[in-house]
Amino acid sequence: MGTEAPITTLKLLIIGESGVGKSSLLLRFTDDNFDPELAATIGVDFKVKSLSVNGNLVKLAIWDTAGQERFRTLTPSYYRGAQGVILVYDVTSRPSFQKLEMWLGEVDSYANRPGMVKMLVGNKTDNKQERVVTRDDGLKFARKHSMLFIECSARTAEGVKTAFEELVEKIIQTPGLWEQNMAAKTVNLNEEPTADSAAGCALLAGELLSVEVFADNHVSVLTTKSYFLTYACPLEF
Amino acid sequence: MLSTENDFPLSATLHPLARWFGLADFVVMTSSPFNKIDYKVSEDRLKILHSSIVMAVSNTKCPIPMFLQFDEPLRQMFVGVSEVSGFRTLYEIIDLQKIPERLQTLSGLLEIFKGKIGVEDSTQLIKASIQFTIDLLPDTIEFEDTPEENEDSSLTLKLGSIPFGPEEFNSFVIHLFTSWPNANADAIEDTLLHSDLEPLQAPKWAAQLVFEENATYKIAETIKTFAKQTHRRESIHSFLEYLEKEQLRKEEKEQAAEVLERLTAASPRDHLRSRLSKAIYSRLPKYHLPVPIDAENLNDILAYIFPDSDLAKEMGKSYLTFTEPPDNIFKGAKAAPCDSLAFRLALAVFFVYERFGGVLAVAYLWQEVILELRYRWENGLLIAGVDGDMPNHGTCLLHQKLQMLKCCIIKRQAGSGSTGEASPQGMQSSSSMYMDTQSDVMTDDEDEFFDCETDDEDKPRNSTHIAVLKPEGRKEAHPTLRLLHNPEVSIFIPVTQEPAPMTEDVAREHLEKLVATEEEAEGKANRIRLQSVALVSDMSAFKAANPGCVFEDFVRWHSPRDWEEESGTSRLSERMSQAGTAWKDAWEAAEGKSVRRQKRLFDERVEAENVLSFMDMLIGEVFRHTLPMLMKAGLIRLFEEMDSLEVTVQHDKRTLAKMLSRLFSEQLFSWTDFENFITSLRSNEQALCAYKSMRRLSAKSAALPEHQTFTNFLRQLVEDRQLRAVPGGARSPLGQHIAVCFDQGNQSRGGSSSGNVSLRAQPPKRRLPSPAVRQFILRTVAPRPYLFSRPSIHRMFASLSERDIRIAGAFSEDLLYG
Repeated sequence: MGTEAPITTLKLLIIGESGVGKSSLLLRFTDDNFDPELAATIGVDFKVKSLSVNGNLVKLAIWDTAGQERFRTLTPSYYRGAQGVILVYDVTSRPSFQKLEMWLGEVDSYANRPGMVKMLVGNKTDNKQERVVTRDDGLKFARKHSMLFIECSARTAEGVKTAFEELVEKIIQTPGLWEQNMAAKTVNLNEEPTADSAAGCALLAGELLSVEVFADNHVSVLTTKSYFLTYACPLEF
Repeated sequence: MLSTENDFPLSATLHPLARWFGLADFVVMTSSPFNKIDYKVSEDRLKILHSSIVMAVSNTKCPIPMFLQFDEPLRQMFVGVSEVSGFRTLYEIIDLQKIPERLQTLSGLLEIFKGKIGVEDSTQLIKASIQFTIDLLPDTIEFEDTPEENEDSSLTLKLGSIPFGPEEFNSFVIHLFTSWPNANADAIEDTLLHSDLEPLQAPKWAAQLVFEENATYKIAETIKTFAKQTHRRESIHSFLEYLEKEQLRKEEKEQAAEVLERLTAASPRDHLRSRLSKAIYSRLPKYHLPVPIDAENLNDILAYIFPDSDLAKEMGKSYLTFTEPPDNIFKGAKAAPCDSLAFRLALAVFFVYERFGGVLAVAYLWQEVILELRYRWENGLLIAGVDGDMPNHGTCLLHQKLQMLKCCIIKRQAGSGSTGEASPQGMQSSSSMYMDTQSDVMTDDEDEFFDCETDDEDKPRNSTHIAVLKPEGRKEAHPTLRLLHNPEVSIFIPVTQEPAPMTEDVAREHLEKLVATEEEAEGKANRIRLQSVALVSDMSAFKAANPGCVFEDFVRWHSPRDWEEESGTSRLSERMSQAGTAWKDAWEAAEGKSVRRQKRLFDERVEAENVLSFMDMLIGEVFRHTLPMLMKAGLIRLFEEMDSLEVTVQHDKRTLAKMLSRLFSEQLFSWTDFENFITSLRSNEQALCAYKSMRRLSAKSAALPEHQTFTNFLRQLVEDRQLRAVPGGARSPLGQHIAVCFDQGNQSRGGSSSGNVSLRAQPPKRRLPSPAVRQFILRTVAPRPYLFSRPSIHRMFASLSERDIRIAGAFSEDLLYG
């Protein structure tokens, strides 16, 4: 699996009230580790992890946001382009559960991917004696808002991996949510170049060996005619 | 071959042999398309091939006709043969570019047919099926009550609108098929002098609507032309310089001065504008001239773009507007609202491009727009048509930038006096606020009132001398919280700096910076450093507003969930109580400074300049950034037509709006998707145009009975584009309607096609346009080659158009008695 190329890169976002364990969840998933003293996130943090879904390697860029209200105005731009959102609450804190509606409102107003998958995660299930939000409460809420639902514990690792796997699987199953991503980022050589798209396609001749799209919209193209082109894609809106 | 059922099949997909010979099954031999040279086989080889086919057919007794195709494929030339129960049928085709006079009529064709059979005194009846195809062009018909939209041309192009309709006449044609099935050929008189074959008397009529494939339509064309300009790489300045050079070359100084005077005298605003422009382009003192847009029109356009300007108020003109369609259909599309400045800019750019000669005029206009925006910014005047108070990332970048400019203007209005002294600092730092580190915040500070840091570090428990410090920048007292070490005093929520608004390009840059830290060893620390500016600012403000406060106080306000209360005792959460966390570091580094004395997170001066320099873009970018709005306008225009006609078209509104959203999403712009969008849009526009023509057409015969039937008939023609029979033919009410609508008798221009019809002189009361294609099928059963041969089937097909004649004959001969 090590040398296998990921079929796609998915952007996931973790949101929820401060202190519900968003960063811990991510740390458990990426490093299989738990740190009770993990510092509160400032702004956003992010981690990259590859995951195998049905035999396909998927690269995940997971954005972990700060829950404090004062940071919230910073976050709208993080929502854009996300294919999946993990909304976390703390099963030992009723207020963190009650704020979910507010968070969903934020998702709806900032997320821009049609069909984006939402998952509700109830964290800290290990703390059984302080639990105040039942599994049923969570399930009801998730159903009402057509979200995936899972309870987990970042401390014991229970349910964490499943949560991410289920979310990613659902994204992969959603047509148009990620294929589109791929199609738009590769140059389609089967298409007859029109006069208009000449800037892009006409430059390419021979058989395509590799296309890479970099973050700054530069594309490098290697073809059998063995030239290596790097040009800025002329259009991005 | 004798069956008349398959006469004149219409389907264009049918093989020509099926059309000409009425055959259902046949075999065609043709040279391989991979071997292109082979089409021009010599006649000898052709003959050899032909004879071998004849032999083969004869040997195998193959009932299925075998054909050999020769010559250029476009000419569609074939020879063929078949053999059934002792009869051999030879299939031949003649194709003539020039039509001999004697072949132009049924009588002439009949002669040939008889000659070919060669049996002179045959008493056999010759049957003829005849079909005339008349091309009816509803577009060219003059209407007494010419609707306004007919005058839509580039000359009457109105500012703030998108034209709709076919770009030229004859974008579609109605083929009217008038036919005489299975008539007695000898009984019909059709000579050059007189013809019984009058379409208006034909017993069978059918009609089909066919669109001109290459016809262009205005909405689709508008968007396409516009989009093509996005590739232009010239800068606005280069156009202005060109204007300048032109001016110098012409040396029309007096005239120049006069125009300049006119320009500057128009209003005080104009005066300021040109003064400003001089300051900016001092090396181009008279770049205004010669102008591609004259002053009057320019003022008009500027008043349209900036309806809140004095200029617009002075002129008091009203302009065409677009209204946002209901149901929020464009919610996902990254464009701008219909009443926005960005939207008007798009339409103005389009208008100027079409009306005032292309990109030069656009560059000229754009420069004026930039100057006006700068004027607004420098004088702290808001701009009409920019909504919201933050750049909305769900809109296009141009709109976001204008929203950003609005933020700057609001900030300028709000703090014009008070923050004046802070400006030199702000102007110096041109880098993004996210790059600013904590150290910047500290070193920039020149007058330190007090030093909270020392207080906190050295005497965190000492609350005695706090009261002497003057609190600063308080917004309001916290409803419940009290200072931990001074419970009589409320915690005051400080006035804080709002996070800087960001346009999506800046936000993306910021994200990319964060992503770039992933590889770094100190990645996490760097990410925190990049993002802690706002936190430090909050901490500073908090310290200033709450002298004597401690970190715990801050956490209780800023992150209440990190203050845990358990059985009477309360403490910081585990994660906040750690030493050496980024939070603690930031707290220690933060100095008690009210927002007013802090370095600003958002420097409107820098940001406004950024926006203005963004606006100074390449000419192609002007088109690129206004394209989303133009496309939206085009769709809305299309939707209006769809609503007004209440007909069903191929693509519904939601589909089109979705396509638009997809085009302008986060992804790279795909020209393939763009082409698809244009194709869909065009197909709708095409159908709508046809419906519209039909509606006008049917109005012509409104006086006749059964008008509704006719209207429905026309509607169906557009709807399914299939062949539709006119029940009852010419004499039916429906036929009457058609005859009236396309009556050429009393029209001066005499139709689009005249040609050989002028010879066929017969002036009936009504006259349809002359047939474009006349087709005849003659068939009979007669003995051949000799009188004593068994009678066999003969068939001849002839198709006459103005350009050529094609005769396809299938003549059989008896092999047993021949």
